[in-house]
Amino acid sequence: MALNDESAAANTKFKAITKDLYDSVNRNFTLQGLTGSLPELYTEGFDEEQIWQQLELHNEPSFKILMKNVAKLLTGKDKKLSFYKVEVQTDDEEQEENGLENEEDKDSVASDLSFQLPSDSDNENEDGDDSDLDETDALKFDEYKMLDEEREERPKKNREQSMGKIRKTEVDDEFFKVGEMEKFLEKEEAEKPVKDDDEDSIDYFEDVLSDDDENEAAVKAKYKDFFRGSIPAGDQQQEMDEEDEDLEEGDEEMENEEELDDDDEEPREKRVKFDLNGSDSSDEDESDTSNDNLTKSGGKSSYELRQERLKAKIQELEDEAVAPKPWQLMGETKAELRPDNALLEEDLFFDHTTRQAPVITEETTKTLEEIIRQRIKDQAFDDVERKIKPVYDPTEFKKKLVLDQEKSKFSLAEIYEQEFLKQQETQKAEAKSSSLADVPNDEASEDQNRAALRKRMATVFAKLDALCNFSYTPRAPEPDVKIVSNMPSIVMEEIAPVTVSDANLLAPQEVQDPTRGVLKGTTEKAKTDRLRERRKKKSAQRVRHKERERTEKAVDKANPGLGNKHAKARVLHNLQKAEKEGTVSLIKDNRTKATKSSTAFFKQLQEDVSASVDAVRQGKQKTNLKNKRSTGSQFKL
Amino acid sequence: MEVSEETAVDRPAFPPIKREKLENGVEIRKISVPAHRYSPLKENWMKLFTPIVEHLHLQIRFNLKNRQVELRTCKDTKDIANVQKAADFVKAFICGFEVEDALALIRLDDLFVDSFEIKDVKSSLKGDHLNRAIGRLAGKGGRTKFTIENVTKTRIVLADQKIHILGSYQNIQIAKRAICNLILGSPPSKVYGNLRAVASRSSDRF
Repeated sequence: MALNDESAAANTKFKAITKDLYDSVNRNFTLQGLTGSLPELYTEGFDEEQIWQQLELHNEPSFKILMKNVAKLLTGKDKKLSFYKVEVQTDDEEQEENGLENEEDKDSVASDLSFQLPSDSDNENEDGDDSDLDETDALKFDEYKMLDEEREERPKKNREQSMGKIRKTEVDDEFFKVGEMEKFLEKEEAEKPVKDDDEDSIDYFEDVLSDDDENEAAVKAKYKDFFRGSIPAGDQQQEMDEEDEDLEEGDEEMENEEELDDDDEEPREKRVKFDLNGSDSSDEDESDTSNDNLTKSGGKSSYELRQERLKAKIQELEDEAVAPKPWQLMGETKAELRPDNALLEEDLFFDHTTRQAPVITEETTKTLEEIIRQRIKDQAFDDVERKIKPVYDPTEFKKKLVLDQEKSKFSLAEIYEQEFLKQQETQKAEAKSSSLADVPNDEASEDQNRAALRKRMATVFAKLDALCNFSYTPRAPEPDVKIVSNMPSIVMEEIAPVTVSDANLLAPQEVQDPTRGVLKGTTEKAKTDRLRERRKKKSAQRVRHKERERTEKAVDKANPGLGNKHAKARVLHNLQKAEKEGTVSLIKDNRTKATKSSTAFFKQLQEDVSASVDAVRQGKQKTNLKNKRSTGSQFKL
Repeated sequence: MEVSEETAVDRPAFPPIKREKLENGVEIRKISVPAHRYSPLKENWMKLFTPIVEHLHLQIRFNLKNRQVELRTCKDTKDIANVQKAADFVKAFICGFEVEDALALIRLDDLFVDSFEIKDVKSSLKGDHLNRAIGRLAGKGGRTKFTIENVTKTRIVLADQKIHILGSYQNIQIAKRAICNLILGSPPSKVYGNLRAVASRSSDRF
């Protein structure tokens, strides 16, 4: 029971301590970027589990942030860290003052201190790094505060870990462990005495005895050799001791010097500037009289040196000017005069005389396709359209006006009626076609409106034509039908011809059809030409014959037999042919001649009869002849 | 129908007369009928009668004693001018035109009848020449006359030596010119040619 009471009291005391610690930490050393942690630890009425959870809530993210910061420092991103005053609470001020004293003990160079490991500070003082706030750019205030806090925290941990545990960070790998390094350094620092006192250990900053002659000058170098300006007052006594350090830190400070050169306003005592006489900077102001006190081997003044350099440069330039120019600056160069493939390495400018082939990108193809599509939609193609020659033959128009030679079937009234109706229809059609929008109801008023509109439009157009000086294309003139007969012209024009002219009104091509092809005389014609002509003639004959047959047939149908003239003519024609051949013998008709005497009459009669008898006898003889040749046996030999 | 009137001087414009202004209020027209048209008149009397009475609202009778057709207005006639129309109609029929052709006179305002003689055109024609001239006018089977009629949209009556033409003013002129040319001796082909040209032009002018 007593044990339990003791443990309970211990518990409450422990809780109170943790709460105080937590609160103080949160108040004074808040990490940047830490969110989610409670402002104070609530212990009253909370379970130990819950308290642990609250602590975890604070610790987990802060671990990460702190590890990040450490990693940053270790990788040395900000190569220089400067130390400045940190406005912390009163419990830290004592440590701060200690830090200041420490600072003064150190070298003046330490105002731009190089990288110092955090473990160093642990040895001297927890806040040995709380140095003066200089004006240089370095860790930010907060970051440093964070760092400070970290260092505050770490001592607790280090003490725990120095027993045996090594701190684990993100940077660790096989070969390198931050924790081990820190441990080692701690050990060394612990063993190492105040710098100048120990003689057994190797003083890294001591003079190194070497056989090299080169380093002699470097070994004997003094502050004045490297740094411009007077030695800061506070450090002059320590100059002898620290002059060796200059060599080591010179390299690192070269870069710093370049940047710090800008801040010339600072008092010279604080600032240490590099003496750059040995290097190639020539724009120094010679206001420093300290340069005159330099004791260099050779004994040349800066002016002399500069002159020498100038002369060297001049000599160089002269040589360049005198020497033969490189091939790039010689006018025309052949391949032999320049090295192999030298043109490839040169950047050449020349004019392109040819048009470059167009670069085909997606955009160009897109635009082309757009154009094609639009053309197809508009049906605006570039096709060549066939031109048709218009026919201007007046004979064509003659055929249109047909002369009706029959009595008209319609009476006059009907004709006029038809005409009137036609006119009305055309007017209606015109009215309908002229309307742009299809208005379903065609009222009389609308027609009137349209008529009025048309009139007005006509006037407007007339005015426009007048304005543009009638430069419009008029309608093509239709050929006027003019009946011309091939009579001497003057006869047509005047009733009483005063003079007579032979000129014909018709042109030769209007009288006769134009002959196509080359005219050939009879001797020039080849066989093919002659045959062609014959064929033409025959075909024309055939056509004519067919026509005649057709008409005669039609006529025969109407008046069959010998009723029509064609039949009569045909018969007569046949008769004449027959008479020519001899099949028919015409009886000469002498009866018209009146027989004056009886002897003449009887003579005629006798002739007629004898002629008929002869004819009969001849016929009989023929048959007898035919009959005689009846049996073939009579011909037998 | 178009009637081209050339007005060199401004004509005095008289408004149409109203019936109230007349003395009796009754207009009478008398048209004498020659003997050779007597029987055609008898045959076509009804055809003459109906349009005059029904459409024009006039009174018509044939005076047998005078051999005259008489036309008279009555109370029903709406327009006094109808009398003149009817008179023209009857006169055209008497001249020799057919009823249907003469009917056009009633229906259309601008139709006229022009009459002239051959001796007006060429007085020196006598005997056979005159007959030949008449034959030329008629053509074979009346072809020439019909051609002129068809092309000029007129009706022509050849009454031996008198020629009557019925149609609109311009068409009458065209037909008259053609006939005169024929009388004067032009061959019909030539006349046809001229007719065609003129007719096409006149149709375009419509």
